[in-house]
Amino acid sequence: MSTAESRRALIFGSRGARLTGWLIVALTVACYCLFRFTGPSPLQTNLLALLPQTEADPIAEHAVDSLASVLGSRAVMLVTSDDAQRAKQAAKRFGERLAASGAFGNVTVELPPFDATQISRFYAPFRFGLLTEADRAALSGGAPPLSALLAAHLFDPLRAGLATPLGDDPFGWFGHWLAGLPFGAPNVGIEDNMLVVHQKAATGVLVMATLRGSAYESNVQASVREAVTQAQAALRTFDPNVRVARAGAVFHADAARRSAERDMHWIGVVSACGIALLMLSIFRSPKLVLLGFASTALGIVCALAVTMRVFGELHLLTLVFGASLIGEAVDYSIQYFVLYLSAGRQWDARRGAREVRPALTVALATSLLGYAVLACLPFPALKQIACFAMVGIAMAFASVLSLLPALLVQGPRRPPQGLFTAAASVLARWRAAVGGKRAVACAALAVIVAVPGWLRLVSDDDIHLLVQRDPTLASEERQVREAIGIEDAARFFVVKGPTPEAVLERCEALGAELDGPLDGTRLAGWQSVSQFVPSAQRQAADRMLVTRRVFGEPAVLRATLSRAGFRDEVAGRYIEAFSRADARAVTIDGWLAAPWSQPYRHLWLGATVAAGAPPVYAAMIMPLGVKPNQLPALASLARTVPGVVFVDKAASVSHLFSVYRGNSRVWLAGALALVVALLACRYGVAGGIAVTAPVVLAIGIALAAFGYMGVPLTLFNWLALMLVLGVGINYAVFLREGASREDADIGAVWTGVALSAATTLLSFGLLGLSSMPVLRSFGATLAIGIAVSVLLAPMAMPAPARRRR
Amino acid sequence: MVAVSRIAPAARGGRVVARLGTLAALAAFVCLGATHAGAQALPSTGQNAVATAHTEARGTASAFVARDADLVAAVAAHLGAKAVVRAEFRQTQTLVAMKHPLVSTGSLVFLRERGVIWRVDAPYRALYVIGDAGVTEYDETGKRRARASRSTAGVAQVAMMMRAMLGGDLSALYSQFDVSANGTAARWRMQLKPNQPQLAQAIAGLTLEGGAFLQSIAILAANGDVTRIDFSGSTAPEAASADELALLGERQ
Repeated sequence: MSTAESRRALIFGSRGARLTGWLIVALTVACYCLFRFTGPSPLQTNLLALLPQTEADPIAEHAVDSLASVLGSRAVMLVTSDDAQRAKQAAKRFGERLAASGAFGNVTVELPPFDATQISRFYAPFRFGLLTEADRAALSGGAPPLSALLAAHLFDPLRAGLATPLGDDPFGWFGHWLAGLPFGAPNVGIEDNMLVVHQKAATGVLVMATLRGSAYESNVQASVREAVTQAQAALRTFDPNVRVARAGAVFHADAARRSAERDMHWIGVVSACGIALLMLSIFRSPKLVLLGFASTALGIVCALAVTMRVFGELHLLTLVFGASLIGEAVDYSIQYFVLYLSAGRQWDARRGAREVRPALTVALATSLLGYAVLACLPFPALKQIACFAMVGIAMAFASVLSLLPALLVQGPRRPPQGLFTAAASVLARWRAAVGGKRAVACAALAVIVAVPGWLRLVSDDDIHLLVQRDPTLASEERQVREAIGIEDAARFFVVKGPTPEAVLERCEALGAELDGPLDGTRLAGWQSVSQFVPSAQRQAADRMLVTRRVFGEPAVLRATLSRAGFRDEVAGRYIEAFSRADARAVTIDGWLAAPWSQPYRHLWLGATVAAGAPPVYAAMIMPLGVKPNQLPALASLARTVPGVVFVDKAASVSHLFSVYRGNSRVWLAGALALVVALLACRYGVAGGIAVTAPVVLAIGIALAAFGYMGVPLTLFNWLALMLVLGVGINYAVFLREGASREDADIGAVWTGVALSAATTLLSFGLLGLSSMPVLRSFGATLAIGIAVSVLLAPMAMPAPARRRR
Repeated sequence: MVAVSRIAPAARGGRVVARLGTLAALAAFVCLGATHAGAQALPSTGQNAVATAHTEARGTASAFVARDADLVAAVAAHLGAKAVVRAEFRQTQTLVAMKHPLVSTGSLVFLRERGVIWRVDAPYRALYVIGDAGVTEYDETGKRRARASRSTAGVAQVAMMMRAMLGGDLSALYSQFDVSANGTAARWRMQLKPNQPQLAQAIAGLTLEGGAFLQSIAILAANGDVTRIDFSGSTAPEAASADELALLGERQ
């Protein structure tokens, strides 16, 4: 009794206390939000952050992250003109502009003076242990005599000018090995110290820049955008025929953020204005509209504050979704206002709150249930959306029951009786059409109409559901990629082992497999740290082979060289170099320390140390020129070499989507059962089923609509159906609760339900026009589902004779 | 995402140097297309503009250079005219590491659309097939010898550059060399000096001489090595033989 009293006091406590309490809440959360938004931006713009970990292997996941951060921190621009000199001048100006802007950490147009021999000088001491596959094969087994190997090199028409002097490398083995290093980008050459690409008549010059921070920070994005835009404008005045193509995560992230912000603004503004107009046209009272917005705003601002507090950041998707939550949050106040208007002069604010409470509680419970399912999924952004929505609607609910009664003490002067009477007659006619004895027939008809649609349903689990790239940027990036002649780096192998040596040996084993035909064709190549640093085992074996076949009998070698025409002192120096060269091998550490290895260091992932376990070393192998039909072969290859994992981010994401899409049907069925059980407690079994029936039909019809429209279903459609269940059921609940209330004006109840539905439909419908595919799926599904739910809601009304319980 | 890392400057140098050999050799093949005596010099104004603009930017006297450029363009324009050229060659390599010059002889077939078949007859027998897909070597028994797959990337690029030149686009040539030419289309001599420091680290210059056909090419390496190739018995048949086409059609 005493606890009930105190709770009553809290909810229905003195008017002044409640007003003060809400004022404090509002000020606190508003200050917190202000504080967060004036500091470093809490916005998360990386769409992939929506995803849970996709790789089962933590080292593979780490590899995905480290590759993304290596690539994400850079931007490449290609300055192109049909006039080569013009292109180079333009690239220099462009680079100077970018560097002067301060938006980038470092801008490179002209390469620093570079001694091209430093790579061969690095490897030269180890050259007797470095053999290509072909030379190893030629030296071992039934090999041709040394003199033939020598002649093949001396008379090779493509030998002249190789990086290694003939005297240091008479057989050309070291030169062959150097030529086999996987320096990519076959189309790029160095001209006037710039990286230049020739494509038909056009000449492109690469401008490379590193960012000052993460590509996903909005201040980095803003300064990069401004700098590039200004530099592009300056180029246009310099020469309008010069084109610039951009590539880099920062441009995509910036475009995504700006389009999401645009979405948020217009969805927010249009739905707020639309809702205000709708409410104004029904209630004809600016005061009620203001109160409704106050309650909604409280919900949204609290949701913002709590979400930022809990997650530390705010995902773009959450923000856009939040803008559309207005339509749902305002429903609770609408129900209260309808009761207020229909009560007329006898209005008692507290009794009104008591009367509307059961309906709102059931509605809140079902909505919370729908969002709670979202919160249970391992998708960080969906958790955020769920958290945001749950806090938002819970606060809106609380403010309706506690704040609005304190502000709405006086009864209305002029209840819109005419409107309510008209609504009551519409409802009576509509209920006669779809409810009562006809309900079963209507439901059956709906199912019959829906079945062919269900049969046409198809699904889509593509990663592009998540990442929809700006078409201009995507085409510019394609231009850059085609010009350079390299491809997307979304697929690779992760090779693990207990020691660096074990990793290198496994890389070599996998590399040998990659050299062979895969699904009929060969790869263009592959990139691995083992190409730069062969395993110690292989270097020792090669050195042994060279020792046995070549240097075993120095006198024979000397004679062979001399017969081929080598000067005696050259032959002597070569033999002496071998005997002086130590047997050390090139090591990972030595290679990592060489300045020129910098662009390739990401291939070595280093050691992962877990507590209580021996360290695990890992490296990355990037297959080049992979055709889609070869992916299964690559994946199965990974299973043949121990310690190897094939990572295909796009495939992993699609797999994740398809698994959860499959599961989501089960969750939907489970949630449905839970809702029926919950409602059965209040309305009895038959009543529970009756109240749930409209929303179940709505889900069925929404699915059929997708089938008929030929729109493939995605995971996000299924998740939205969960929300249709949680939100769409509200209307049947409101109707049933309203109808069973004493002295209820059923016209007023129906007006409230229709208005609630209209506001929700408006804001979720706008979400369906969002530029983000995920939100579009949500919006479209919710709009269809909610429209059907509200239309069929009268089915659930008890027959007029049994209206009083 | 563009893998920016793979085009970073430092490592590019290695690739460039590794490519130089093929560049020098294939620059020679560029000029193997027949140029007929008395053919008119009718370079397109576009090529002219490229060459002139480029050389002007380098501060050379434009009137003189323009004549050079016309001749180069005239020679190059005719290179694309013949689909197939056959010739005998005699290659003399004067290398600092060697006691005496290395002489090899053989024959070659140049297929404009596909590449070059380089057959060495003496002092040992071997066959090199240089096409877009890379280089394939065959030993005297006709057995295919494997080459490191990656060394073909540079060849493919040079083959591309060669095709661009034969298609009348000389910008790739001028982007790597300062070209001076004298004589007439019937009897000409061209000197190519690398204008890129990376290339200059390996090659000091190229000299090409020809008339109706290319007659000789001399490559002076930066370390003092000289490679001279003399061509004789050049003919321009209508088409290559089926065997030759098969050799160059074969990929990988």
